[in-house]
Amino acid sequence: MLEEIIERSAILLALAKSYPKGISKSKLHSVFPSWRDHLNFLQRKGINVEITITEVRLKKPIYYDLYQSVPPEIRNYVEEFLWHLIEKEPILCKSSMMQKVIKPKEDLINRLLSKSESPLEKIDTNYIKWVVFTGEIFPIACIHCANAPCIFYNTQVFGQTDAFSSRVCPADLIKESYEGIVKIDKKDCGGCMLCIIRCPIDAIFFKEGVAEKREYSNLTNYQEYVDELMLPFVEKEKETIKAVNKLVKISTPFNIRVDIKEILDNFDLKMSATILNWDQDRYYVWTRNCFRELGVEALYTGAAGKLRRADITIRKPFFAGIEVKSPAEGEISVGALRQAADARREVWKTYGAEEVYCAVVGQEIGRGVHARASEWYSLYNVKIPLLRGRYLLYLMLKNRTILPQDPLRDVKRLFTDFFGWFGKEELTQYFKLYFKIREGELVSGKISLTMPFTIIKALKTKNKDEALSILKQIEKETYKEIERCFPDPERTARGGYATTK
Amino acid sequence: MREKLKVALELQIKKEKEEGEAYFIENEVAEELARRGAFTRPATSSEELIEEYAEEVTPNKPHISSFRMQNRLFRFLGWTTRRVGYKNQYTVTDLGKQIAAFSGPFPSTIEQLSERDLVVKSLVSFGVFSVNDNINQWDTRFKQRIVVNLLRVTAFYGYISNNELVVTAFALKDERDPEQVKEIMHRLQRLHEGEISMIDAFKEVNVDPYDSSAVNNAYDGPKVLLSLCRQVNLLHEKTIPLESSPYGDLRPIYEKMHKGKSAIKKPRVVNVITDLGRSVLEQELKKTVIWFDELK
Repeated sequence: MLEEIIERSAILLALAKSYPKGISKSKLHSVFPSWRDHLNFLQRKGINVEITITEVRLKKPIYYDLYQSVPPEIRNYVEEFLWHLIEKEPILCKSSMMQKVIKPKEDLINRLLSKSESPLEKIDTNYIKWVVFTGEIFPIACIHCANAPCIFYNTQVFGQTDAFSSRVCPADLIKESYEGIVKIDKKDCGGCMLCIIRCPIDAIFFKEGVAEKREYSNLTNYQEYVDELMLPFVEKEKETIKAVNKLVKISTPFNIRVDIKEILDNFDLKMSATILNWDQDRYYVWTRNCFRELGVEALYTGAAGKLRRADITIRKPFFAGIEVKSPAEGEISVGALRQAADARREVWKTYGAEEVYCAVVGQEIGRGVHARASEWYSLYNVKIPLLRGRYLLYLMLKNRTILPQDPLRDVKRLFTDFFGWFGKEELTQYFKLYFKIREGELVSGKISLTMPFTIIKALKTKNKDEALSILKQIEKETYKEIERCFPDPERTARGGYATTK
Repeated sequence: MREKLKVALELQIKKEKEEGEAYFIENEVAEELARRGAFTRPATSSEELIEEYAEEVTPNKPHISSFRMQNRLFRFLGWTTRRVGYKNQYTVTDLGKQIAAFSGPFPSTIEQLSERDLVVKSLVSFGVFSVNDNINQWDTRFKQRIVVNLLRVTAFYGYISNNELVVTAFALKDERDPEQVKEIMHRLQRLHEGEISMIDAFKEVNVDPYDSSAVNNAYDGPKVLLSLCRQVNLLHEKTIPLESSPYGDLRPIYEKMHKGKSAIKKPRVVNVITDLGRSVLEQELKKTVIWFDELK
């Protein structure tokens, strides 16, 4: 009897899958010689079947499902018959977990690089970057990582309240295709740098205001550069880790190789109402991601329908509630200060932490907001720094390039040391203490992981005094850069602040 | 849900490599999920959560019981199934693998394949019992796809409350029997026209309207399914009154329906069917339904 059920199930599923077309009678006969009996049985059960000269088809669609109607004991047998009957690959097969892996052909690239065989000039340096490490040469174009860091925050997939917890690109412009190929839609790119700094092999770069990806396919004789193979997703993940480990050693710390002012200006311009005018979700996700890149655990808790009203909640290693004003919502207003204080209260209520800080992040600061923030401090002893997107982007980029910051010793100070307008004076002050701490570390010899990479590198060959002078040099350059990147006269002659507009 | 399924699949692949057999164990998946922070509580780290319940017996561990419930839903949706011949061992089906292959916020797509379509397809096949579940839990007397019938009764007036679902879609045994369908539709009509109260309707389906535990049990029945339907946009939840909508102020209808003292609470929200819900229902009602045990 079980055999009959298996055969009837397979026929039903084959008919259902090919509806409104039918299955060939000869095929049916070759797989099940007693198919006519089965069809008679099914007709008695109310299944309307039409038998033509060549095929058998259903008159009406039916409900009978392989995964929800057929018990697991016989599912494999039914499936086997089913694919015989309908002669096509199952859509929902195991191969759906197979993904494309792109492997550069190293020997070929070596040959290309050696001038005797193929001149280097032939290679378009816009699309390919060569990395030399201990005598080995690796090309860096996108390897289409498994769990691509430019698309997902892997470790934070399960944010407890965060609707976009895994999203890196605030506008969701980076997508992974069925075969595991990563694509960037650069049309609406805001140039926020998140994907660029997260790419472990520097394959994404900043060009003309948008993120662009180096692809092997952009090279001449593409097929000569790569081997493509299909591997199960888990294997691809291993391949990615292997490739990234090989390359990450020389690409850390990340060097953006573009004038930082250009990046900041581009972001400001793109955020303006006339161009992209990011709404809540996009700007909030960007703010959250910037804080994540600054090394703190940040959650987007301001999405519609959320009970907590802190737009961004920081919960590790300190607690803070951040009110965000997206470009579409307008400039930071006096009301935003009250919302920031509310955000702080919500975080305090949720986590019961002793100390909770707050801040406001937005693209522009409105009139009189700084004065009101000063009042909040003098009357209620609450510090509410007003952080503009341009400054946050600068801090994040510095953190990921030459000035790595410590969440507790540096980032926390944004909330504890400042209130009101966060301008270039405040930024300079922030970095003054940053360099003072690093100087102390150098003198005492207790070097932390957040020491600038250049200094760590210098310490390998040079002595302490020389490293100290390099640090001084970096400090001087940083102040110069701040002057250059934030040129607007923000502080008025009377010591107050002008609006950003 | 998809991310949890992914973790189950990961562990299944791991087991396949280590032991040559593809399966996962609920407790192991739950522990792994807790370690990854899927079950978090404010101001408690995942390690603290696991540690806190380390001494407890398994059913008292919230992360384990939570994943067990989720896995039960997966089985009903056809994404996981029991491993034949082994107790407490499960496997992710090929359909489940396909669901797990999606990434990013729900609903996602892989080329032309839409995650929402696949989930809707699984959801409308949600039965009273699942063949992927333990055989002892099958009750083959019930021949109905709950979500389809839930949509069917909702589509009648365009909106429905939880209590109305209890006495209509959830009181149906065989969706193919026109008499039974007529009976529940008639009950719904009588409720709306004020012929009977909700107390009478509860009595008709043998739920004691004065016993709060019986009423709450019945009331909790549709919750998970309604939540799933809302997530895939088959239904919307709206707060009564719906003055600005085509349905108008529903307060008088529900006040009349809930007259009399009982354990049944008057609803504050109703579920409104969406256009997608209507088109899915239309498609599903066209189908001839046949069940596995009828192929004997």
